[in-house]
Order: sequence, then C-alpha cells, then structure tokens
Amino acid sequence: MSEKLTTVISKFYDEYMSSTPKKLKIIDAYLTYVLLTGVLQFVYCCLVGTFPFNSFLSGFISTVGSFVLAVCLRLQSNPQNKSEFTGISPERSFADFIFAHVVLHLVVINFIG
Amino acid sequence: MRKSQGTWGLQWLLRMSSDKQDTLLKMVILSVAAILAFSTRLFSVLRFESVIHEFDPYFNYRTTRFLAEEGFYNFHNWFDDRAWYPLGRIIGGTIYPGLMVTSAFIYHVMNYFHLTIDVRNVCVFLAPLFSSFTTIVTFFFTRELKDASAGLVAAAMLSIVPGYISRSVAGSYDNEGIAIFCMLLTYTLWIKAVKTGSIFWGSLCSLAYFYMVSSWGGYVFLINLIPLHVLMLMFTGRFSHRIYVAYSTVYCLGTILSMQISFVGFQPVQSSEHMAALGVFGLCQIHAFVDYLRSKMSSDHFNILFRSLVLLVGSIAFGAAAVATALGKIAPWTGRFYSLLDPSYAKNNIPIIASGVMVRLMLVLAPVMCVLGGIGMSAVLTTYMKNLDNPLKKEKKSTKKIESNYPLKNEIATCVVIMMTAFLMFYTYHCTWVTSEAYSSPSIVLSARGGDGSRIIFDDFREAYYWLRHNTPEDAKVMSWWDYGYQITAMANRTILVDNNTWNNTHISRVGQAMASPEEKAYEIMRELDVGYVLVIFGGLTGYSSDDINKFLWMVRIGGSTDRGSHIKEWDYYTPQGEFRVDKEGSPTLLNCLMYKMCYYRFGSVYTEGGKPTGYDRVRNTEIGNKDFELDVLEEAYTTEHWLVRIYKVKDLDNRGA
Amino acid sequence: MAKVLSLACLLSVAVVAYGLIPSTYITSSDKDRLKSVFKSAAPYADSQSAHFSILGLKLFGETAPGAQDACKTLSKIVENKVASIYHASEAAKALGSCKISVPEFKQTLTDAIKDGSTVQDIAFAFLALKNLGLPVDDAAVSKSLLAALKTDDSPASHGYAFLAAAQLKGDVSKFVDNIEDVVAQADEVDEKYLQFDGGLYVTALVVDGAYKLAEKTSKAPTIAQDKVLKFANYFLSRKHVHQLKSAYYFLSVVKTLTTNKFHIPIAVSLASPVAVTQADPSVKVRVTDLIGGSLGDLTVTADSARHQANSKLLGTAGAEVSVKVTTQVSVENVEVGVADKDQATAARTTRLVHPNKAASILEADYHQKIVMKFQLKDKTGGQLMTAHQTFVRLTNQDTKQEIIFVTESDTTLTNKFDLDVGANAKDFGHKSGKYTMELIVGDAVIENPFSWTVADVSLTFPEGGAPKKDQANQYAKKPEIQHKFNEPEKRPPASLSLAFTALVLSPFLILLVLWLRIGVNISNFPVSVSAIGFHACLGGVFVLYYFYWIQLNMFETLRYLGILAVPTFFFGNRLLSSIASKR
Repeated sequence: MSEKLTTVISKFYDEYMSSTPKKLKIIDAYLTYVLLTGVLQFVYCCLVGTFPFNSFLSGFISTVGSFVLAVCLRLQSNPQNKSEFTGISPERSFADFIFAHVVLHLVVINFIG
Repeated sequence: MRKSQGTWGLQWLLRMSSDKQDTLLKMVILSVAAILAFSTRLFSVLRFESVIHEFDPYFNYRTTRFLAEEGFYNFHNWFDDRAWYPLGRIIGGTIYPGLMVTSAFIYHVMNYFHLTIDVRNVCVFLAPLFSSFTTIVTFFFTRELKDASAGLVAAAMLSIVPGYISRSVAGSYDNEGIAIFCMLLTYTLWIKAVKTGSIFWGSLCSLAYFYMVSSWGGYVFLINLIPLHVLMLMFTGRFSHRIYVAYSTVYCLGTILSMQISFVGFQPVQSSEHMAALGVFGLCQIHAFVDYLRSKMSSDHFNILFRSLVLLVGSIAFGAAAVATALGKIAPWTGRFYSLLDPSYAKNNIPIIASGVMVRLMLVLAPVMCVLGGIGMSAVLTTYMKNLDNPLKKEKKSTKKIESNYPLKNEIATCVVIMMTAFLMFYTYHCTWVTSEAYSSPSIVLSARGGDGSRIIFDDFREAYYWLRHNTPEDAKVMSWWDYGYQITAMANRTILVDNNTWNNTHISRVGQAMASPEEKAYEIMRELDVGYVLVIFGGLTGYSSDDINKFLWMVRIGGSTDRGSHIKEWDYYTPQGEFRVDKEGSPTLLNCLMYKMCYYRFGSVYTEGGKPTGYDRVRNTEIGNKDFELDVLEEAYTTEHWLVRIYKVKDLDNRGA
Repeated sequence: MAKVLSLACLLSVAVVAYGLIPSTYITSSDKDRLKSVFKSAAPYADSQSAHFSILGLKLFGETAPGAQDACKTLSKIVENKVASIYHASEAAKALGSCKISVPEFKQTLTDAIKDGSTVQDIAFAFLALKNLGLPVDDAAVSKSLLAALKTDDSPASHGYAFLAAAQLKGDVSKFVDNIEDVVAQADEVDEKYLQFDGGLYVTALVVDGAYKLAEKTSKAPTIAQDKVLKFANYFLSRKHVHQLKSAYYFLSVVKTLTTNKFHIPIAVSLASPVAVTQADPSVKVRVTDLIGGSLGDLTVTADSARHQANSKLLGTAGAEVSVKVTTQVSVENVEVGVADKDQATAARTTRLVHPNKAASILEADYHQKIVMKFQLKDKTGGQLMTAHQTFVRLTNQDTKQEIIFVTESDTTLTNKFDLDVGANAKDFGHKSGKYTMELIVGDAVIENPFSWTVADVSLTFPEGGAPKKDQANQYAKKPEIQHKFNEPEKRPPASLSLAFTALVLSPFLILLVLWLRIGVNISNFPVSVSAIGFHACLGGVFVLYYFYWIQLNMFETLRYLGILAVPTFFFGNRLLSSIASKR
C-alpha cells in the first residue's frame, strides 16, 4: 500500500512538473509559501497560546485569505478552466485579486491592534 | 389640450425603438414602486407628527444623536452611565452600529450640502428611504434569478408587503429597517458572484455582508443560508470552480470583516452558529483539491491517494475537534439561535426574548416570498398574456396554421389574467389598509376614538418625560419597568435602572422585586439602588390596556426568579381560585404591593365611567379593592393629564430622632 | 407638648376700640426719614415737587430752607399748564410772602373749567384760582365737576373732587353723598387694611379729601369707624414710603386723621420689652394718636391677661399686646429605676436631686425596662408646669452613638419616661454596653434650660437580633464602586516571540528559492509609465496601511486610500489592458 502510494505521488509529481504551465508554477510556489507561513502561525498559537487573539486571527486569516485568493487566481488563470470563467481574462482576474487584497489587508491592519 | 399632449407623449413614446421603450417603462415602473414604498410608510407622520416610535428606536435615536455630535471614536468608546444605574453600559461594544453610522453619515452629507435637517428627521425617514432602496435591490435580485419582468412584479409587491412595513414605517427607527436592504443586497451580490465566479463580485458581496453584520443580529441567517446554498450545490453535484471562488472569497473576507464589529467580536470563529459556514469552507477546499487531483491522475491512483488522505485528515480533525470542545473553545449553542429556528423555544426557556421572534421570522421571509411571488406571477401572466388574442397580429395569425391550440384559449387566458389582476388589487388594498390601521401608530402618542367618532390624542408619555426633564435634578435616578427605559433616557435625559437592552436579568429582577414588594420592603430596595423617582404607566382611567398592572405578573415572575427575590412567589398574587384580580377579591399581597399602590393612589375617589362607582378600572373592568390608603415612603410628584403616566418621588430618610 | 407661655394684655381704651387698633405709630425716626424725603427734593425741578416738599415740611412745622430762593425758583419753573400752575400756587401760598402771577394764567385756568375737562384739571384749576385770589364761578365749577365725575368715577377723581369741594361755596351735598360710595370701593386686605387701586397716594387722597370736605360741612363723613381704623392701619403699614408725592399725601392724611373733629384713631403699642421676666415684671403700654402725639389724660385699664396657646392674633375686642413671661424652672421628685416588663416585681427606683448623678449604675436587660419620673416646677410660683422640649438622651460610651427619646407628661403634669429595652433593641442597633443617660429640658420661656446627666445605665440586648450595621450608619458614605478591568493575560517571553517572528518570515526565502528554480522571468517586466505607476501606487497603499497601523485613524486612512485608489485604478487598467492586447 505505502509502496503504491509513493509511486502514485512520484508519478503525480512528474506529471505536475511536465504539464503545468510556468505561470501556474509560480503561483503554486506562492501558495506553498503562504501555506507554510500559515502552518507556522498555527504552530505558534498551539504552543504559546492565542493571547492577543485578534492579532493571531488577523495574521492567520491574512494567510488563509491570501491562500484562497491565490487559489482563485490560479483557477481563473488556468487555461483549462477557460470555459468556466467566461468573460474573465487572466488580467481581469489579477485586477480582482489585487482589489480583494487591498480590502483584505485594510481589515487585517485594522484588526491587528 | 390635455388630450393633444397625451397623444404627443404617446407619439414620442412610439417613435423610440422598442428596446428604449422597454428600458423606459422598466425605469418608470421601478421608480413608481420605489416612491410608493417610501410614501406608503408615511401614514404615521401625516396622522401624528414626525416622531420616533416605540421603545428601541428611542435608544437608536439617542445613540445616533451622540454619534452625530461626538464623532465615531467617542461613540465607539462610549460608556453610558445614564442607564443600568449603578452598573452603566458600554454602548459602543454592545450594539450594531450600522444604523447609527448610516444616519449620521446621511446627516453629515446633507448638512455638508447645506440641506439643514436635524438628526431626528433623518432617523424618522431612514426606514422609508431604505425601503425604496430595498425595492430597487429586489428588482435586481429577481432579475438575476429570473428576468426583468419578474423583477418588476417582485419589486412592486415588496414595496407594500405588510410584513416588511411593520418594521419600517416612518419613525420606526430600528435595525431591521436597513438590515432587510443589506440582506437583499448581499443575496443579489452573492448570486452575481456565483454566476460569474469573479473575485470582484465576491469581495463586494462580503462588503455587503459586512454592512449587514454591522446593522443587525439577524446576519446569522445569512451566514447559515449561504453555506447551505453551497452545500446543496455540492450534494447535487453542481459544485464548480466558480462556486469555489465565490464562496472562498466571501467567507474569508466576510469573516474577518464581521469581526470588526465589536459586538460580534470573535464569535465568527468560536460560536457554533457560525461553525456551519466554517465547515462548508473547509469542505470547499477539500472538494476543490480533490477535483484537482482527480483531474491530474488516473482513477486507480486517485483512489489510493484519496483513501490515505481521508484517513489522515479525518483522524486529525476528530482529534482537534475533541480537544477544542474540551477546552471550551467552541461555545455551546446559544439561545438566540434556537429562538430563531424554533419560536416556542424562547417562550419556554428565555422569557425575556420571547416576544418578537415571529415578527422577525416574518420580516426575513417577507422579501423572499415577494421574490418568489413575483416570479410566479410574472410566469403566469407571461404565459397567458401570449394567449390573448392580439388584434394587431390577428390577421397574420389567422393565415398561419395553429397547431398547439385548445378550445376557448382566449377566454381562459382572459379569465386568468383578470383573476391575477384581481388578486394583485386585493393585495394592494389589503396592504394599504393594514399599514394605515395596524402599523402606523407611534405608540408614544396614543389615539382613540371619542364618543362622537372624533380622534382623541393622548400625549401623556411625552408630557411625563418632559416633566421629568425639566423638574427633576440632573442626576436623578428614575426607576421604571424596563420597557420605558430607552424612552426615559432619550426624552427625559435621566438616569435609569433598567432598559430595553435586557442584558442583566438580576438587575431587572431587583426592580421587579421592588415593584412587587410592600412599601417598606420596596423602600429598602429603592434606597439601595439610590432611586429618586419612580414612574409607572397606568391605563385604568383611559382604558389603555398595556399598562404596568397588566405587565405586573411578568415583574413578579422575573422578580422572583433570582435568589434575592425568592420570597416573591407568583402564587401570592393570585386569588385562592388562581385569578389575577384587583378588586376586593384580589389577594392582599397584590393589593398592598408598591405597584398597586402607585397605580391606584387617589384613584379610589375618581369617577371614571358613568353609572359606575368611584375607582372603577376601565382596563380590568372592576372596581378596585383597596381604595383608601396613603403612601408612606413615596409622594406623588406628577400625574399626566389622562393619568397614563404617574411619577412618584421617593422620600428621603426620616430626620433622626423624630 | 408644653403650651407656649405668653401673655396677652387686653386693654380697653376710652376712644374707639374695635380690635383693629394700630399697634404702631409714626415715631420720631419715621418723622426724620419723611423730612429727609421732603428736603431731598430741593432744588426743585418742577412746581409739583416744590409743592409737595414745601407743604410736607410745613406739616411738620418747618419751613423750607431759603424761602425767598424757593419763591424765585418757583416763578421760574412754573409752566403755563393747569397742573403746574396749581402746584406752584399751592407752594407759593405755603411760602407765604410769595407771589407768582402771570397774566395768561388766568385765562388758562378759567378755560380749564368746562364740561369735558378731567376732574383733576377742573379741581386743580379751581384751587389754583382760589390760591391766586382770582375770581371763580363756583357754580360752574360744581357743575362741571359733577359732569366730569360721571365719565370718570375712579377713586382718584373723587379724591380731587373732594379736595375742590372742600373749598367750594354753595351746595356740596352731592359730593358729600359720594363719600360713602367711594369708600365702599376700597379693597380689604387681610381683614385689617383698606386700600384703593392705585395704592397709598390714591387712598390718602380720598380719605384726606373726604375729611376736609366733612370739616367744611361740619358733619362726620359717612365712613364707618372700623373702616377708619383699617385705613389708618393701611397708612401706617406704608409709613416707610420714599416717593415724594406719596409721602406728602400720606403725611397730609395722617395729619388730617389726628386733627379732624370726627374720628381720631389711636395707636396702642408696647413700651416695655416683649419678655416679662421675674426681674422686670411690669408691662408698659403707650397710647397715642397716629403721629405719636399725646391724647391728653386717658385711663388705660387692663381687662385681662391670659395664656395664649400659640398665636399672637388679636382678639375680637379691645387692643391686644403680646408679651412673653419667662421663668426659672426646677426639677423635682426625680425617680429613676429598672422595672420588670411584666410588672411581676415592683420597680426598684432611686430618688435623685438635681444636679447629682445616680451613684450606682443601672443595669437592665431586654426583659426589663428603665423608668424615670420627674416634675418641672416654676421656681417663682411654685406650681407645676410643662416644658416644650423634654428629652432623654442615651449615649453609648464606646461608640458615642446617641439615641434620643421624648418624655411625656400626664394630666398631673408629671413627666414619665419608659424605655422597654427589648422592644427598642433595634434603635440601639443591638449594641449592649454602657450608656450615659441624660435629661434635657428647654423652652422659649425657661430662663435656665439644662442638660443633666442622670445616671449611667448598662443595657443588655438579645444577641440573636443580628446587629444591623447599616442601620447604625445609614448616613455614612456608601463604599465607592470600583470598576474591575480584565487583567491582561501573561504574554510569552519576548525572545520566543522574536524567534517565531523570524520563523514565520522564513518561508519567504523558500518562495524566493522556488521562484528562482522555476525561473521567473523578470526581464519581461514592461517598462512603461503605467507599470511603474501601478506598482508605485500599490506600494503606496501598503505603506499607507503601515501608517494606519502605526498612527492614522480609520477615517484619515479611508480618505488617503480613496485618493490613492484613483491613480492605482487608472495605471492598473492601462497596464493590464496593454498586456491583454499583447497576448
């Protein structure tokens, strides 16, 4: 079972490296970064405590929000999903992405205390 | 002259292309609906005057005035020492500020353009104004769902739907007035976001949601309804990337935005009412990830991976949930949530918020029903209108061979259309009548029909409040039942013990105990609470039935519900037969308690109705049982014209040695 | 309670006595004040003030200072108007050797006497003509006066008419008849005063005129005697008048009331101090006319002297004067003791003599009561009496808490004090211990009030009665309300936080590494105004956020954000559309 799992994963990795466009890879790298940041924050909160809870939340939600928004951006810029998002060009989605970030971080700053 | 003008207008209309005609008609209908929504809510202003109604609106009005005068930050940090004496109340952190901010904003904008209007008038007309906005939003919402014609019908219906009018007449300055607008706006933007899958619309939707959160506690409906929608889509297999984008954006932004309202605080991540949304959010992520993986590999491989992942994630999630519940991080399901779902829950378990749950449900459902009704109406009418014989097209049609035909097609269609028109007309008449008769009394000014059919106005409440304002010391504490708390602070500007924000049951209970105790006992409580004046509402002379004697059993119940009031037993206030009566048969406990004495002081020598003895109570329809008594610890300070409000001054301690 | 001991002497006086007799008169200081009012009018601004001032002084028997100067001034200030000429002529007449005579005056005055003129003008014109020694048609004056009175029958008009009629030749009976009607118009105040609308001046004018007229007809005016007294009371109540005109008429009428042939009200006043003491036991009464003049030999008899309960109101007959008789008091037959509540045993009592204290401590518990008896005796008369205030005060010797009781006197005028220890435990706050017992006696008529420490008592209260603390100090300050704030939770050590900050930032390196490995193509960065502007603006937005975090408030931030948003949108739109079109 575990052998199979490793083969599956390695095959998936090869597939990913070969067939994914570079643009998406960049976004994926960004996603990895955000995910790691979020995980680290979560670890901190588990170890030390959540005391200024608003600060923790604003930081954590900032990462979650960035992650989610980046995923959205990835979905919309993926040529395979073109049919689903009619009328949304990658540029438009990038502009939306920026807009959402401006809103998100205004709130995050307000909440951070 | 008139006729020629009309024909000219018609010609001008006909000259336009049909597209333009269409747009113009829609705009005209929509504006008429919006104006109707505004004007149908003005009955009370026309009939009485531009006053704030009822109880809660007075609090909102007072806070709005504070906000407009002192600025947002002072408002946010406002500690009100005028209410809940001696506890005080942190206003900034315990209210939904959306309503006040909206009116203060309108007030400042108007005054910036030198349209001088005072805060009170902004407050009075805010609800009708937002009803017009709601009408317009309803049109767009229904258009997103169906088409423009359904939108128009829905907008027209919403503009006069009584369920909504009941909470949004002019002067009824309450959260619901703008919350319904916010709710429909959020729905509209949500549908828009789902349809396009755009982050932009999602962000706008979350902003609308934020506005909703800032204005009404009923936002909980939304945060449960939207995830429910997503969940249904998942179950029906219609989950797509568009929905992922819409929901993820709305949830992330919406959650952190909603936490900016200090009254909401951390609830969106802690209380169980919001957990459904969080769960669906997580499900969305998993669903999307799984979809992604599935698209990247063969099904065999996918199954292996899937199984191992489910095992891993499942065990982690279960462990985390267990730990969190054990540590008390997830709040138990709070009462208000149940009360929304199940009206009887509140009645049985939380007496204080029992009232008004039905009204709230009606209010939330009314716009939805209007939208559905609009769609239905529009569909029926569109179908049958087509079947009507069109004199212009008749000749063309007659040449064509008609296949899908049935006998009396035209007649049936005519019947249906007439029926529908009649329904709509009845609806309109009904709504206008209900609005005028049932929902347009301010309850601060009462009106009654006199013997000759003329309208008699009782303005006793304001009389009493202004008396308090001008004749008592600035720092006097006024004790009354909590219903009148907001009005006293707003109109009389005096410190009160309890008000309509019923956040502290023990304190209310203490007041209830004072009212239900005999004079001596009550005096101790009043001294302890530093009470200077006591205010009671008494309807025995005018026949005003929602007075303090009729509310008295609640005072007894609430008064006896705490440890300190355990000596107050509801049963003592009934006759041995279990009746609540104020005549000679009534229980001696009742006939000697403070509330009874304050209401009926000097009443025993008054003739109220012809042919009846003195002291005849017109609400209870009896002659009162205890007529001749004096007050020892209180003295009558003021009684209004129709005896509706009676104010007593608490005597100071006796001089020593006397 | 003890009665107020005051003595009202009832005097019967030979002249009119209706119980309304004025109890004051115009003393010499009043006279001086009035004189100064008249004197201060000089130098005269108009003939009216000259008139009042000179005549006022003349009524006191004084002449105005500088009669010759006054005469000159007078002829200067007189105007060719009826009132002015009248006042000037009166003044000139009073001065004696003074003549003011201008030819046209005669015409003015004669013209004034006609139907349609006011009563005042006619009267003034007539009197002026008389004063100036000019011929007058008395019948015409009488006729036009009566005609004018028909249109204006106010008391003031009648007053002027009376004054004029007093000088008229011929039949004046019509005016005399009017007197009764006019007097009937007067308003009564407090059943003591009579006055007309218009106050002192009008009232004085009417009364004065009426008596002058009566003088002429030698027939007593039809004013009832009690009314005269009420008028007199009213005048005397206004003796502090300051206005020149009123002062003159006031003085004039008072003079008339003391000199006329018909009614002379008298004033009865107390000449000795109000308090009648042992040392000074006589009561002196002064009987005078209104200006303090002697009435000749009169016999004053005191009808009665009586105790009066509480008021100083005058009785129904005779003149009354209130005095207070004070006295010395002694306390006698004092007994103090402890008795059983149920009267099972006889009370053990001790006799005491003022001012000695009981030798032993009285001990009482809550089954017993403390009793005390005493009598108050008037030292001089030797009879028993009651006092207004008789208290027993118990003072806790430790806490200094005082509890005060009132003693009551019975029909035999014996004061009794009865303290049920158990029943009054609440008043003592259930505090057992030693108390000092004092007797306090006082009254307005007692010359020697005293506070006498009678005994020390030791009281024992039931313990079960839950000593009520707040009862004792219900006047004390309530404890201040302390607001409790949440204590901030403990923060983790700074080093740990710093370490995690670094750790949280570290994934950024991973990002850079990954991007480098993927091979980010930075060279493709479009160098254009819009691209640079867009990135600059975005950077600006995040810098703004930083400042929001540090110092700005929400509204400022939103304003700046709004300003920044415009170029950002503009540049972003251009940049992205150019990229899109390239593709």
